Amino acid sequence: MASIPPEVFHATAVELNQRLLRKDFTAAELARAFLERMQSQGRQTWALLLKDESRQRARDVDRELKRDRIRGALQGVPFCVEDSLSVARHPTSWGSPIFAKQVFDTNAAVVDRLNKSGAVLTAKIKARELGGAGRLSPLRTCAAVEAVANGLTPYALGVEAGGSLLVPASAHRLTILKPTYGLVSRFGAVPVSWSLDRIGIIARSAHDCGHILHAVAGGDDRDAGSSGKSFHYALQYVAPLSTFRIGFAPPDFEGAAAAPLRAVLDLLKRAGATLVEVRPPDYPFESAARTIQAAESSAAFADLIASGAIDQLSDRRQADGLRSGLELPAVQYLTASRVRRQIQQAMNELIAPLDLLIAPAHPVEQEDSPGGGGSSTSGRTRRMTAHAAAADLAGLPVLALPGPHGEHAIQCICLIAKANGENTLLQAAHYVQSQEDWHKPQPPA
Amino acid sequence: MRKDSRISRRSLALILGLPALPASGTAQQPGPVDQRQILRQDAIELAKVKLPRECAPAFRFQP
Repeated sequence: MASIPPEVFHATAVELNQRLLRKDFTAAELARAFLERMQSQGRQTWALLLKDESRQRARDVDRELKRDRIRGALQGVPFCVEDSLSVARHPTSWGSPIFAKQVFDTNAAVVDRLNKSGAVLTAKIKARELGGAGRLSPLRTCAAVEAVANGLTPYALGVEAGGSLLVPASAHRLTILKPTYGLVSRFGAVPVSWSLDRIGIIARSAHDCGHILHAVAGGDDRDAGSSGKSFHYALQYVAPLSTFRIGFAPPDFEGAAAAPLRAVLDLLKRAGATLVEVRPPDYPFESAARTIQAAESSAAFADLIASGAIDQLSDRRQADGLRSGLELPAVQYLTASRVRRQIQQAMNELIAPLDLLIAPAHPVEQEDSPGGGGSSTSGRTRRMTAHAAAADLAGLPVLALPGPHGEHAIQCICLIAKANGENTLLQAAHYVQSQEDWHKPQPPA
Repeated sequence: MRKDSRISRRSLALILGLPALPASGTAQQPGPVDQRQILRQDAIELAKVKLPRECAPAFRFQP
């Protein structure tokens, strides 16, 4: 049996697949190594370790590789999903004791699709309770993000609504892709907010995100929000970066906290991209998102609120948030939805003459001072910059990737593309990560 | 004094046709004031947006 060197645990999925093809180790050895690491570290991270299934799956992949049956860049590479996604015949608790005994007889669509691509599901990661439904602001911590950051899995998937994965993934300097709304089926996922939920991909590189999206994207009649579109990761068909027009709001890059991120702008400029100054639309993004999410979450869990079961949630504020959402006037929900339509139109007009928008993952003032204030992003957008918050509501694809290291600095930058323009996002992000090592783990001091 | 118009958990359960807890003094917990205030403030912020009358909600949302 080949020993698995420690650097493997922080390698990207593509690198691991290449090593499998080179026969540095087998898929079974790789799965076993990750499972042992999972058992010895981060015991609090796991909802369920799928030891037998993953070993069997890995052995199947090894047999395929012996016969030269190549399925793609994820074949034989372990991965994890949040417990907010169903795995057939295993408990799917949605992170809550209320659903501890819930068992589905089907896999979430993304699990099935990754299985078909030869990926090896090794564990379910503890989810935020009810996927975060009822929370009026996202948690800064997320077990799925921590599992990737700590080298316990090369990548993970979970339910993302309103920055619930993007915010913690940015803090951990990971690469996260939020695909266009409707591109990836949410069948088998906890319903946090039907019109906002997307499957988020947490990985170590944009290249990995591209391959993962290629595997999981596609229409699905079982998801009412599915657009029926597919995605092929093919950077060779994307226009060269030198022809890109990239919009940015100068105030987003002012201040000490955003200083390192100006290096990303410089890098793109040196590649020949044209930087265009833009002004983000001015709308109450957070109010619209919070209203829509509160109403939809409370409607989804109305039975639990009525029965009093939500009092079993560990966070009282989350239960309170669900109750508050149920009392929301219908007019407020409709107004938020109408404002959302305006935001969608404004974003489409803003991005129409551009290839990409670029913005820090957080507003400058959020890092500069806890009180906030000033800057183009205004006090209304506390979690994400105006551009990122608007893209969230407009359903546009967002990719966040780490910028240069810096103390008290914003760690990640967001790229936003037109709907279904994921290859454009990945083209720019892949260029940045091929030129700089900002996304690679920093060696200990 | 204005009567609290909040719907009780028991009434809500009855409206939704769901099993309800027995009526008692403890069935309705005190309200989550701060969460409600946040959402009320959101309503004020949303009301400030000038919306054309023909602007429809983003139902059947597709980007």
